[in-house]
Amino acid sequence: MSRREIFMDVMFRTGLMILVYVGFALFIPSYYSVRGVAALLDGAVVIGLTGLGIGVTMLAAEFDLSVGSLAALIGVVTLNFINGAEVGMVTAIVLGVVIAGVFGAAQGLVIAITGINSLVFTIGSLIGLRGLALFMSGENTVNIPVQRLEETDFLSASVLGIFSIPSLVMIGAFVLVAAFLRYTVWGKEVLAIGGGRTEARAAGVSIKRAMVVAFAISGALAGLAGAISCVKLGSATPLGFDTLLLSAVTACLIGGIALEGGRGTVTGIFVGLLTLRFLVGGVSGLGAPFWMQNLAVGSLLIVVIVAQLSVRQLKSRHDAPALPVH
Amino acid sequence: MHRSDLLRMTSVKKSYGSLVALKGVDFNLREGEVMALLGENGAGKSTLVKLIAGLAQPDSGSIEIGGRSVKLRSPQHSLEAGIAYVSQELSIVPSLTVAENICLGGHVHGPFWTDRRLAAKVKPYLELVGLGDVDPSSFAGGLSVAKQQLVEIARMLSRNAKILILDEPTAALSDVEIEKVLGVVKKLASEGRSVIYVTHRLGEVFEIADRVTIFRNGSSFDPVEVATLDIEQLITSMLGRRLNEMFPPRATELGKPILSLRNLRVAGMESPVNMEVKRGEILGFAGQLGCGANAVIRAIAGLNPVLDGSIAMDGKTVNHRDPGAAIELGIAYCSDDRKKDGIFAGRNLVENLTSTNLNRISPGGVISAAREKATAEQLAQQFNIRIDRLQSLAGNLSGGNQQKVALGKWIGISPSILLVEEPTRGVDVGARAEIYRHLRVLTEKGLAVIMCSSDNQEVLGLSDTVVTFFRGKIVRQCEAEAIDLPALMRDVTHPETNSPGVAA
Repeated sequence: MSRREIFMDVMFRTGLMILVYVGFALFIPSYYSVRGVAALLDGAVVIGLTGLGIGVTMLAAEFDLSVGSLAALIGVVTLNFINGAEVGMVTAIVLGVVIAGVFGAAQGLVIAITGINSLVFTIGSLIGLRGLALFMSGENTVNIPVQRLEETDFLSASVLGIFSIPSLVMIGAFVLVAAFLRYTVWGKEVLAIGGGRTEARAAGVSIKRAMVVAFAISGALAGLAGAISCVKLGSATPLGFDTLLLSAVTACLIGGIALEGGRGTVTGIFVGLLTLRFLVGGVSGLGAPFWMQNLAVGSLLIVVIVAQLSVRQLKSRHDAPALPVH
Repeated sequence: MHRSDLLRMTSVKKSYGSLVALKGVDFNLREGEVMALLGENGAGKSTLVKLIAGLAQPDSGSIEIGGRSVKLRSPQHSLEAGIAYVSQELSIVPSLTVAENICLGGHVHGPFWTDRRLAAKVKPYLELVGLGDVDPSSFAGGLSVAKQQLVEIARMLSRNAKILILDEPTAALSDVEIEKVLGVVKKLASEGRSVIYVTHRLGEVFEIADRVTIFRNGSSFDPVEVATLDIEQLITSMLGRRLNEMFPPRATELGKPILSLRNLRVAGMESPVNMEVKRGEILGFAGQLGCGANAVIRAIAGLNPVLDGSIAMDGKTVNHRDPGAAIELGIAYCSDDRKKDGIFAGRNLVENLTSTNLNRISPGGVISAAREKATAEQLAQQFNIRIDRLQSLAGNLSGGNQQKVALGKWIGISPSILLVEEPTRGVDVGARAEIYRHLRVLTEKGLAVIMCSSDNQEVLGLSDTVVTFFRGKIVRQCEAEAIDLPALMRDVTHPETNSPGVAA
């Protein structure tokens, strides 16, 4: 792919996003109000942060399925910090994120050393972490005491009328991760092991380091999503975030992150996220029954995937004679 | 001038499964010299350099650099020990830019990589290898194989290493590009760096090397000064025997034409292909990576689409579109990627040998154990595979035995044409002669074999008719008797210097 092709790809996806948005905005007046947009953005935070993390592992040609359970566990852990150690809200969230990041790094290291397929390995952690979340919470929902609830209000305040603090955090995370992948050695190594594992190894890239980095990012972002959302809500249930994994992966796929690794952009994930959000918000805004949301998201995903496959096949047929064949 | 040993390897052994790649090899490299490694395919050259590059670890034996014993556990370790390596298989990540590829795994001052900084860093190296006009910020996947190879050499230069390894760097390059690479190698040696240069081209050895180490069948000989060497001597020590002892006699008489290609156009070939193969004939395609020979074979196998022209069997146009249809027509295809396409590594030999022929062993759709066993045993016997090994997993066999299984399973469908890519890749010398004999026996029964190989001796020794390929064009089609090894090598490497018969 050339830069131009990547740009065109993101543009097409952005076009689709705008189409979805405009389509619903025609029928739902609140969609194009400032508050409507603010609500849409705010509602995208959990999926956005998690999708960004899982997207990084997908770019490294790996897959972190543990994100949903990790978010639930970190939600519980963060609230335990607040309740037990009586630390401030922000401190508790930071602690939660650090723990999630360390867990992710360890998970990446083990996967790199053992060479176990990350899909398989993280099915294990997906189930195990859920158990740990139940254990840490005593199988009950953990709540922030009523008298401290006002300390969490800052998460619902809005900046400039559109942005809540969580949505600013999410946008910040997207910018940081994009810059990380674009401008740093470690980021390039993550892309390198995704675009050509053996080639990268032969070039002297440390597969271990790149895996640790990718899974640490994924873990930390899932933890951030879980911590922010539970603190904002004032409660954490150990069985929460059960549909998060699929939504996060959907955002990545709509955004053009390839399962085989190396291909895709952070901008794409953001566009995919908003497309998904506009669609889900729109369907529910129209008052359609819940099953319509699933049907709509599923259909959109399949349409996007089929479209990108057809474009690629057309292109490869067109390019075929020039390609060296071995 | 006295030059000390920079790198010394003592009794190094390395096996891959049951294939012994190196049986106790000694090797040394002096400071500031160019050491050429020569030998047949599978003689152990590439294995040796992979050990030095940290891509594989020796089973036993020692490696010393500058007198200190070292363990090279990964390419990173080797880099830190001052070793840079250009592999035979490319190590370019296609989804990264040229500049990023060059800097990958190396040292760039500061943690932040911007396009402009990287471009400034890599520009001089790109110019050294003749890629001054390539945009460092373009994606490496968009470059030709030859240019990607040059990018790798640029990367090696940027490493500022003491020991540089080039494993057949010129295989995919044109004469002009080869001159650039050889120039770079000479320059490096004059700067006092040591170069290990693996090649098949004897001419290059005499042009740039100081000494030569010859490999034969997993062992190495003492290094020889190039100045004291002549070509005859070189070839004899490389082979250790005369060519004709390896290969069965050629066909005395050929049957009727069975397959003909008329103006066939396929992706990977620049000009249309016209050729014919007869019953009882072994047709050998010679050429290097990207020469197009595979593309023709895969088109006949129904794997690559036919863009134009026709494939005819027994005079009738068939133009099948998928491997299933090819098999129906009696065309069997044996890929060069044995592990991936040739065998079911995790299944036993019985299942492997009968996999092409499930209809025959499953009356009414249910596999009959008795018929399965009988069919497998019959094929095993024919291919000299030990019956008592039929229950072992195919992946546990030696390369030679795997190849016999990969070939043998097709005989079950009684094909009339057998397509074989790289018939003896990863097969030790002893088993090779056996595979050649099996192929010849098949043609004596009326089969036609079309094979392609990057091993020129193999093509020349085994085939009745030889076709040489260079960069998507056929250079020459002739009887094997009418061409010798030097001419064949010229055809597949730089046919520009061959006046007659060159396709325009």
